Amino acid sequence: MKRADILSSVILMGLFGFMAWQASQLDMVYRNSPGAGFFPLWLSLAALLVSAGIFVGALRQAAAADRPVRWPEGIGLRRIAGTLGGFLLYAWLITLLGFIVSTALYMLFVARLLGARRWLPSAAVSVLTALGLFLLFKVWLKMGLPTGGLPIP
Amino acid sequence: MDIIQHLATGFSIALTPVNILYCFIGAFIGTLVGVLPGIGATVSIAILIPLTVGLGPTTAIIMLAGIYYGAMYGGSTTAILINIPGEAASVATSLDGYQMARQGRAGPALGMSAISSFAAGILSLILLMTLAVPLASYALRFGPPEYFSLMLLGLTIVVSLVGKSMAKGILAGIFGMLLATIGMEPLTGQGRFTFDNVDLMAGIDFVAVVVGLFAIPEVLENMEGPSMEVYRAKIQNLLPTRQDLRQCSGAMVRSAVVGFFIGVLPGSSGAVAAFMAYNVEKNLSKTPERFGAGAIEGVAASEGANNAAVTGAMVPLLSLGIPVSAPMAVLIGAFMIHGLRPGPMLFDKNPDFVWALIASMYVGNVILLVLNLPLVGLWTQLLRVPYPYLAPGILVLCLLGAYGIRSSFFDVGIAVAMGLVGYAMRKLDYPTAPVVLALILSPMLEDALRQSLTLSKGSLTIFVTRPISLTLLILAVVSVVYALLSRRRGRRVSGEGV
Repeated sequence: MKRADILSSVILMGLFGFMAWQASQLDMVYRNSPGAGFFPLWLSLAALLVSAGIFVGALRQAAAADRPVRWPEGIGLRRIAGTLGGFLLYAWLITLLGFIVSTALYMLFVARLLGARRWLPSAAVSVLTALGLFLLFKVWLKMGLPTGGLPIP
Repeated sequence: MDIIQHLATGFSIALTPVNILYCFIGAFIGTLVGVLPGIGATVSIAILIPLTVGLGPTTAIIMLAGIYYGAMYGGSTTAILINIPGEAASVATSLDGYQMARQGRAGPALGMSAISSFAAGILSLILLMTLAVPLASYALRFGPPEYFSLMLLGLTIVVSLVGKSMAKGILAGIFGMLLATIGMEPLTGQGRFTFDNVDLMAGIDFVAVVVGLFAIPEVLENMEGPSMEVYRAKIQNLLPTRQDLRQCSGAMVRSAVVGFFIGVLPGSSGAVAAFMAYNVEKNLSKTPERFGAGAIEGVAASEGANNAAVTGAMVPLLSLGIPVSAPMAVLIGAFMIHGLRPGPMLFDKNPDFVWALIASMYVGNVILLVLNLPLVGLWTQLLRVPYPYLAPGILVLCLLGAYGIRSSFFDVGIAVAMGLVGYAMRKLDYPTAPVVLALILSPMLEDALRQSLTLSKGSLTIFVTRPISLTLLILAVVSVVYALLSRRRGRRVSGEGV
């Protein structure tokens, strides 16, 4: 955790420093009351200060008391990367293939990635879930779902 | 008398077929998400907000509130059957509930948890009615300075939600406040952190933030570990015996009172209420050694208290407009989307809405009792849904929730980005609840500060020269000091325990 805290607090100090600089470009006062930049500036500065505190605290932490962060590795990392990457691709695919086809494809992809062994049940569950969600959200609840270029919605 | 009349009006609205239907849907979804791991009440309410846009505000909030207390009912099922609480509030239930299941008494444990939740839910609603109305009438005297001090008091809740590290919790809160500043500033029209991007000028949608911070990291974390255990045993004899009921009657009443008042307190959660009520019962019991080994009073106390805590949390929400927990913060967001301003004016301007909501909670508790007693078999079947199908299903719902409010893929991108941030926050021990709380309260705080300083021509003394504002500021300081002291005490106790 010590190394992770040092690294993350340095990144956060950079981020909040940048935000403070951005906020300082805005008006600080507007007709006797705080301007657009007042809140963001003071909040960024406060966040910068607290991040610095975490940085110093991590530096002073004894190595013996340290508990390492368990980041995902191996199959866990592959699953997470695949699921999230697939999710972004899915969001893009909806605009091309519509909700039903892209949702069924994404469901099938993640189910296989997470260890669903047999193709037929996986495909059946994926298609039925996509259809069910479409009927529930679009047909019954009239939610505006994105549409694609295919004749299937 | 006035309360009875208002409640009668509330029932006449809550008992219309459409409101009963949506109350049922809310309670059903709540139980479902309470049973299933990976998607809790906070996320479910957030995801379903876009779907309620076409409904009337009363119907919409009746459904969303139903999800919250339904989740408290549902969370007990997994806690009892497989020792995995669906909600944090059901952790105390698993102590005795799981032991009862191992002794072949899963049925009475599930039955008692539903009955106790029902009894405590009804009792706590009576407390809600007697407390919220006078508090709201008092708060009608509030002007902008009082609102500023009230919002500041609300933000001190962050201190009690900070988790392991105070600095990290506070930083999470400030991060939430900074997220709220993104977008076009309404008074001057200046863009804040927008970088001339049209999507950023519209601000950050809080549903996308909630979905990203809560749901996505939960799914990702579940992917790291081994797959879920599946419950195979059959459940029999659901109804507790007469002796069980006699044994638990005191626990039900006490847990309602304890849970309700813990729920009213800022920063407290259903989990705290459940443990507190559990400890009360253990201390009062002549045979405390049974607790942890399958005492049915333990189940009754914990489940009664976590349900009553939800009702308790409605007091500051309805009468002052302060959310005391993450699901309540999301519920406030839903109020705003439906054009309702939570706070003292709500009782004055929208009495039909408030009383219909309260009446619907009575209806919802009855629905939940019906859903949880005869249908417990259905809920246990759900535990057999394999995670490879559950995970992508949850993520598709996340996409729909993030996309739904503004029909924008930019919001889906924000949800994914927040998902990564939330995942990193979990790994690095940063709490996520303060982000949501601050995101909701911060714009109201800034607004009230502006109006106050315009009134006082820039003088800060306006906050300390008005008695109610000063009292609220003192309460804010007391709240922080109390949270710090109880944190220190907790640390000392755990240190001694080690």
